[in-house]
Amino acid sequence: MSLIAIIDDDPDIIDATSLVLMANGFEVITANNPGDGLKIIQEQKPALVILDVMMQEPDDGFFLAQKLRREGVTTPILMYTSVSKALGFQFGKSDMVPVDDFVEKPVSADVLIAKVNKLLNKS
Amino acid sequence: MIVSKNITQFKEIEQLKSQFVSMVSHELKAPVAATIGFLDILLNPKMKITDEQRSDFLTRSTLRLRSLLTMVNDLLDISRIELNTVKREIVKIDLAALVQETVEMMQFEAAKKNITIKFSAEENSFVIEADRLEIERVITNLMSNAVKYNKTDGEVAVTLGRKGAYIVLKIKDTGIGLKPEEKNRLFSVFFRAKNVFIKAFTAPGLDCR
Repeated sequence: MSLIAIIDDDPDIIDATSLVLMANGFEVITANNPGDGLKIIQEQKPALVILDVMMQEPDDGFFLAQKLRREGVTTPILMYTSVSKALGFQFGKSDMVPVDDFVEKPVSADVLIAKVNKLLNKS
Repeated sequence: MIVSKNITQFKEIEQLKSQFVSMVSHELKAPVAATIGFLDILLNPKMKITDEQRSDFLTRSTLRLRSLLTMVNDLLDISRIELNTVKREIVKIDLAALVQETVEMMQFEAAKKNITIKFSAEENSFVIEADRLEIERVITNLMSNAVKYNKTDGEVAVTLGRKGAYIVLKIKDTGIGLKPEEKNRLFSVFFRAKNVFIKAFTAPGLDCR
C-alpha cells in the first residue's frame, strides 16, 4: 500500500490524520517541522505528502513545497490550510505555491481519503 | 506631509492588524481542528480504536479545548485593557519567587528544543506592590517568547537586580532578536517583529529564501 508523509507541527493533527490513513490501508511517516519533513521525503520517497502550510513560521509549508520542487521532487502534495476561508484568501496552484491540492482543516475522514486517492491515482 | 505620514501609519497599523487577525485565527482554529479530528474518529464506527486510544483522544481533546478557552480569555483581557475596564488587585508580591515559578513552568516547553533557562537574582527577595495576574502574564509572555523564538540548544538568561529606585528584570535569549528600528515599536498594539516572518534561522538543509 502507498506510503504517505504527514508534515505538521501539531501532534494531535498528525495522530488523527495518521489513524485515518492507516485505517484505510496506507502506511504513514511523519515529521513535525520542515527540516525533518524534507529529510523523510528524500530518504523514504513517499507516494504523497500531506503538508501543513503554517508551522513554526506562517509560510513554512509554502517554502518546503518550493524547496521540494526546486530539487526535482514531483511527489504530489496535499496542503493543509487553516485560515484561508477566514481571511477570504483563495489558494491556487502556482509557482509560488507548487502543490497539487488544498484542504482546509478540520477535514473529515471521507474528504481526506477522497483527496488522497484522487492524487495517488493521478500520479 | 503630515497627512501622508498619517496615512502611512494608518496603513501600517492596518497591516499589523491583518497579520494579528491571521495569527489569532490560526491559533484559535488549531485546537478546534484537532478536537474535531479526534471526535470524528471516535464517532466513526468504521474506525477500530482501542479503549486506551479512546481515552487518550478524549483527554487530548479536553486539553485542546482548555487551551482554546485560555486564548479566548486572553483576547477578552486585551479588549478589557483597551476599554480600561480592568479591575486590578494590588498586593505585595515577591518578584524573585514569581520569576522562579515561571522559570520552572517554562522548563517543559524549553526542554522540547533543548533550551537551557538560567535564573539569577542579586537578592533573595524583591517585594513589589502590583496586580499579581498582570505581572505574572508579563513575565510569562516575555519568557514564552524567549523560548518560542529561540534556536534549538539555545539559552535564556533571566536576571533580577536593582538599578537605583528600580527593580530590573532582564530576559536575554539566543533567538532571532529584533532589528534596532523595531525596538521602539515593541510595545505598540499588534506589533510582531518582521524577523518572525523572515527565517533568520531555518531548519537544517532548508535554505528556503
